[in-house]
Amino acid sequence: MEINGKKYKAVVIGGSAGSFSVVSKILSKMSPDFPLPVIVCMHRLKHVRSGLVEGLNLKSKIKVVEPCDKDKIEGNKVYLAPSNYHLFIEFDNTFSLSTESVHNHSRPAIDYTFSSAAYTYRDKVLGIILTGANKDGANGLKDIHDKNGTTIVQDPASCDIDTMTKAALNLFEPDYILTPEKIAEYLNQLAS
Amino acid sequence: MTEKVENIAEIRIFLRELKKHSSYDFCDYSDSSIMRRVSKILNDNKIDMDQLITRIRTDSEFVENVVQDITVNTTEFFRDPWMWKELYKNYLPSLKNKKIINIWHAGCSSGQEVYSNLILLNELGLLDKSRVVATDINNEMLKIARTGVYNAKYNKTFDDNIRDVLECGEMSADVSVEKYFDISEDDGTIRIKSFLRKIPVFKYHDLVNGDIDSIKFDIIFCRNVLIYFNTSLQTRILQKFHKKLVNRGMLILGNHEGVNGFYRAKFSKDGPVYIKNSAYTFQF
Amino acid sequence: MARFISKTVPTLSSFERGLGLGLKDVRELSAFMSDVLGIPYDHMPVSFFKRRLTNVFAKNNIRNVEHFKELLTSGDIKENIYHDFSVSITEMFRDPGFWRYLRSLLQNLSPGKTFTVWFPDASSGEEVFSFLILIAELNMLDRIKVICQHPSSRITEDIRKGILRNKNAEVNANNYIRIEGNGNFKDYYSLQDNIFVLNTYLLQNVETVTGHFLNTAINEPAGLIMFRNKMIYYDKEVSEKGIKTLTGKLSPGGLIAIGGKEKMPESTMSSFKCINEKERVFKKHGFDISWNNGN
Repeated sequence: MEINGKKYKAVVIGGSAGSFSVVSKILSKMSPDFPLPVIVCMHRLKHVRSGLVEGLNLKSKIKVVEPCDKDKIEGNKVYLAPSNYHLFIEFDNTFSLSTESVHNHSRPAIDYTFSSAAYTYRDKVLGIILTGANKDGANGLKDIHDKNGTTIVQDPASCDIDTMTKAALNLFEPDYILTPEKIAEYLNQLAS
Repeated sequence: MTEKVENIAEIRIFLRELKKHSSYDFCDYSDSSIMRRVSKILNDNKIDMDQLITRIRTDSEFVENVVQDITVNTTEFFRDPWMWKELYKNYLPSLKNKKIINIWHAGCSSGQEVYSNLILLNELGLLDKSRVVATDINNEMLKIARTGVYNAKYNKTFDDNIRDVLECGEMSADVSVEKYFDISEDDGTIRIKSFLRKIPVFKYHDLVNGDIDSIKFDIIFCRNVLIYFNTSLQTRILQKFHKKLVNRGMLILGNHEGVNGFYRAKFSKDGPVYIKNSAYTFQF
Repeated sequence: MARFISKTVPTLSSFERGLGLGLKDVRELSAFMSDVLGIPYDHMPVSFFKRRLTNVFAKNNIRNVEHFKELLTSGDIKENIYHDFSVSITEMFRDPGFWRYLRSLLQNLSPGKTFTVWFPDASSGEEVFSFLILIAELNMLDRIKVICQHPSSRITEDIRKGILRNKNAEVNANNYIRIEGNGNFKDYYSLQDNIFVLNTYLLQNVETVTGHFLNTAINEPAGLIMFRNKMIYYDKEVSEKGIKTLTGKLSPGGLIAIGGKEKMPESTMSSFKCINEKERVFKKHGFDISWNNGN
């Protein structure tokens, strides 16, 4: 997929527990044949191991799965970071999981997923940070930014809680600041 | 080309006739091996396909012979090594506390599997308490099984399989073939040593209609035999096996066979083995 | 669409910068470490290797890779690497559903049978201590020998003494409630100098072995092997080798537990039946008829 002369390899999305409705809204509006992998890292309750994927699948037109360790990353799939593991993207285009300690009180930590995406995909990744009450994700999104990847921050005015988005905006200036509707539109425009 | 197609069509007609006039159903097995066997029957009897079909309809003794010729089970030592390794490492050792181990090879053909199993039992030190009965409907095959002399044409497979299986055991990394076989320099035949040969009782038995000993078995082997029977006969035979097994006894079928229908719930699959009446229980 | 700003020199957050090592450096260094230390560091996910190495450098005041190599060859630092490279388990009774399931299995064991449980990669005490509490509540402490193994002698010593260094008391207590145990979590440990110490009676049948599970095997077959979230730190090749090694030490019919998001290497599946898909428990083929023969 190419835009502005750039070939993307993946989209990564981060948000805290309250971002579920935003993520499902974006997924519900995305084109069913969106060609890239969409990797979603959401803070979630670790004792609720199931339910989230099912919930997202009700809304999403693209299949949502929780990856297992070493799974290959494929296009036209939404991957949801499993509960109580950190999720990393490896050079051989597979996922790796880790039970290393919590980061920003979170496991999965968005920073980790984002940073590994930046490191693996360099400028060929699109990072999106959504509503959240925690600064996790800001540093990771800055890594994507620093590697010349494309970054989108949800418009703080459209956030339930804007701690996460504001933390990112304090660190760097993203490519776009968009409402959830516009984010879905932007992604679809990439796909068309 | 056309002749071959006609042949397949003819064989299908023949198999349908055979199904009508015997307890066997080979209709799903019109593959090259059956083709080969039917050609052999035609040659041996010097008849053509029309005559064969006519005799099937009229001569019940002939039907019996034809069935025997078709079901001749070519087998080899330690066929499907994975299965034998599993038996060796994970199943046969569990019998060590039994006073007597009763084993039935149903459809033993020329006996290679009987001897394969005896070799494992010997390696595990269980040979002395093993009682083995091996049955078949083909008397010619039983004769070969009793003498225990085999043409070692398949030397390579024979050697590979036997080493593959025996080397997986802990106590017997270094088993020589001579421990169990006399190998003839003259004609390349191999003969099972007498200490193994004297153990099994080989006898004629019709799986469908015959009766077997009154004892119950710890293991029943019936490999690549059920495939030839129709569903209702399969169920009848499985019923017999179920009755003849001790509780938690093991039934060992061919790689492509399974327990279906009513008896599915009465066995549980564990690796290559079907265990009688075993809802899974956890144990070490 | 125009970008808002032009991009400057990349500055990755310290976490991914990973000591500034490139892929080639990682390959070289990990191979060197494997040679010297006998553990397959060169078969770990690259991102993981770099994170852990960063941890090793930070904890041991290592200035750079040359300094590190020097220390490695002089041998002074081996134990520290074994210790600081490994990922400690962060909570007791992780995945309460798994522990409830394991309890249901143990409850159905034939009475009187004794057996061994092996933790081949016990990187800290949480899993072991959870297991000990579980079997204490089933009155099975004297029937089960527990062998814990790890390359770091400091870690195995902590386990032998019942020490937990992670301070996750609240998580541990909450997880204990979720397994619906029949005791009081606080009764199983004391705090000594603010450090969690498991009660000694729980540790009576615990043995420790110092060494990596690929190099040092236990002598006796195990009925249960606890290997949860260990393969995630190795690539496919070593995971496969690991499972094969462990399978060789598992009794016929014995069980192995792996992490909730781990897959059994495909080539090893012919030795197992999965008996609980969600909790990832696998049973090795076979059984021991001698003590389950009701007739």
